[in-house]
Amino acid sequence: MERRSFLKTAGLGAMAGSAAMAAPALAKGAPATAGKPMSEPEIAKLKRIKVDLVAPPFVHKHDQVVDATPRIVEFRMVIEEKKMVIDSKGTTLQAMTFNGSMPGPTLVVNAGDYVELTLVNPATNAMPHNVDFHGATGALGGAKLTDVNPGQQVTLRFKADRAGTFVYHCAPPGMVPWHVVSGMSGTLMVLPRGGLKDPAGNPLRYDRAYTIGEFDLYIPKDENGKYKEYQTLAESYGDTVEVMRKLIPTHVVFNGKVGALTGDGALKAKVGETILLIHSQANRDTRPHLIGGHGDWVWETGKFDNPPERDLETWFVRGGSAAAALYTFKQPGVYAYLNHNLIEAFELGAAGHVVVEGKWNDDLMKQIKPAGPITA
Amino acid sequence: MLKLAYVALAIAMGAGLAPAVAAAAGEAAATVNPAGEKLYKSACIACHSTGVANAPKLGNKEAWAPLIAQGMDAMMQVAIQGKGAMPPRGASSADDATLRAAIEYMVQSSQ
Repeated sequence: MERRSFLKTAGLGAMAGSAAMAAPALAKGAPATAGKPMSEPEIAKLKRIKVDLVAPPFVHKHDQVVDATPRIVEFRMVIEEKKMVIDSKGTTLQAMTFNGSMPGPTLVVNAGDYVELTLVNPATNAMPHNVDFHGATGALGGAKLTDVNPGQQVTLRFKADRAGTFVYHCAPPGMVPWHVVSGMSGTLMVLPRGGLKDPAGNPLRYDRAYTIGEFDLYIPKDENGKYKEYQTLAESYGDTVEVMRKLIPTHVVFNGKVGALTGDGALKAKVGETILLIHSQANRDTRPHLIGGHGDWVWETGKFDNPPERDLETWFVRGGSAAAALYTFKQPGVYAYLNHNLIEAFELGAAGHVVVEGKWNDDLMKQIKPAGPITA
Repeated sequence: MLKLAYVALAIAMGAGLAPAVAAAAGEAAATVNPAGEKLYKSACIACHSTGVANAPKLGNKEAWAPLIAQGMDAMMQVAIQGKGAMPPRGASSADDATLRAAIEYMVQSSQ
């Protein structure tokens, strides 16, 4: 009721949403409403697509531009509780994950599509779980309709009617922060049906997408200052909450581990290639930066119907959101992609590498004289 | 520092060995096995402090009364085998004695 009167005040009818969807330029002033409500028989006639998810930093195959007819996109995620090693010293986390990875896999649909997720909590797990999609409307993001005990599964459908990168995370009542900081978050990317656009309405395309989940971890220490290791997930709870309450993470990592995106895990690209970097942080602020590069076009709040900013050195991801940045590489070499609080990056772990192949461009940068003795 | 103070206090009170003796004596009235509270505060608290998935909340007399009425053996069976969203042994690696102590702690806090 409130929403309808708001639309009226704004001078928009029920069709405003679908018209905005088809328009080439960015929607201005109107909240996203991708199409009018569909009835169950109408929804039942929609084409179904089944997506096999892939582990981060990769993103499953998807189309950046699709036609106007919405689809139902089916996903399946399996919750896995497991002890994970999170640094080179063998420190362990009693982790909770979607599909065994931190972050969970990135789900991609187009605005107006329906997401249909089956969430499986195998009997081998100990805890109840659920999922809250920031891209969904109602029932605490779906959390209220997806409570699953070990040995159960549940299926939720929601309309992805707003474009952008959105966090999803577990949110069991009474123990939300613990499940989130233990690894249960990921990104839903809802692309505009016509693909990404710059502020002038020109198309922006990427050659590959990478997804990075940043996690602030709170590992308890014993009386000797050593990180504690727990036999079971539940036994880590009390101590972990004590550390969480101090608001100082012991580790800040990309994709589950210090150095996960370095060496063999480094992201790869070529000169001339455009990559989309999706960055999620479900709990705590971060500030991504590509050393030697930039954010060519950045949606730091992650919502594609807003015009992106260009030429950013460092962007900002609010805790509880996901951002997207486009960059076309112009120089080869090893880049660092990090949280530019450099203590969090280099001391606590929030840094990865992008290895870029191609030809060096002397016009953009040249070493005129190598380092040598001071002469004048 | 804290530990020293505690030991000093215990000695000063002439009660350094008393808790251990009492525990060994078994279910002496009003004797509390500190392992119970410790287990509660490390693991059980995750659900029983706020009532996650309808877990009976610590201190909720109404919720606990029927469970207490069933007796310790019935509560131990749930604790060991699990029930609904409650995992076996409360997802801990605790032995039976410690589990029993944790139940006793919860019962005492909820009467």
